Amino acid sequence: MTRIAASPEFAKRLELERIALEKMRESEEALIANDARTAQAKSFKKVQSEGDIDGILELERMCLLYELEYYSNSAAMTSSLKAAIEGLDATLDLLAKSRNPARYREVDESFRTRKNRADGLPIDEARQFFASHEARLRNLDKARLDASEKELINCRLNGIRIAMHLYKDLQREALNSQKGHA
Amino acid sequence: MSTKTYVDEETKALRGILEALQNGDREAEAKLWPKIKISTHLLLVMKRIHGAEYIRNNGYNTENADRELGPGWLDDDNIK
Repeated sequence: MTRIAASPEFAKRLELERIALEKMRESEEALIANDARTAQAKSFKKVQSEGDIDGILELERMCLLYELEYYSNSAAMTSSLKAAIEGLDATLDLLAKSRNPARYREVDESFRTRKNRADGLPIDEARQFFASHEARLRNLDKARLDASEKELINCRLNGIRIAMHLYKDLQREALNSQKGHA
Repeated sequence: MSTKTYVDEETKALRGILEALQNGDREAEAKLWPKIKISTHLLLVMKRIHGAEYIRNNGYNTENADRELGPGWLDDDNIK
């Protein structure tokens, strides 16, 4: 006898939960929540297609604030969300600096060692945020969430990747124009 | 004022089974399981451990397995 089949009694307890959740998913409220997520995804896709890094980060920040305020149900989740919001706020500061070559030069100069640079660009706190937030969202894709929740997470993930590319372009621009003045 | 609206028979049975589990009332539990459209997975686990007769005698709803495995699954020794 295989060990996995050992307990129909436990399988019944799993079954009670599964059926209750299935019924919840069919409820009118669940359908509304699904549609709301689709509408959120549409907003994300709009700013993404416009290459609007400020828009992408603003929407992401709002999602994180909502999660922290209304959905966090463990200390680990709260601390992860707070870390993400802090990282995002640092990113917004750096974004402003990257649009001003003189100001970004100071950032650039504080990232000198090889492990803090890639392709000639500093792995500053914004770049660190993009990497860690991408990992955070990818982990959510492994959790037990609804399909529509995962669709939205994938959409946000895409936004973070796009924002990182746009930010790298800004870094490059800032540093190139800096060379011109040197 | 209650916001509860319509609760269907299956949901009532789910609640009843949970209460029966809590009270250790095997008899009440056994009466309610046939009202639930249980998964093929659970049916196969029960078939492996308790045998086909157990599923028939207790009146479990085999609709899902009948559809997914074909109507002869319960007596087919190759399906476990």
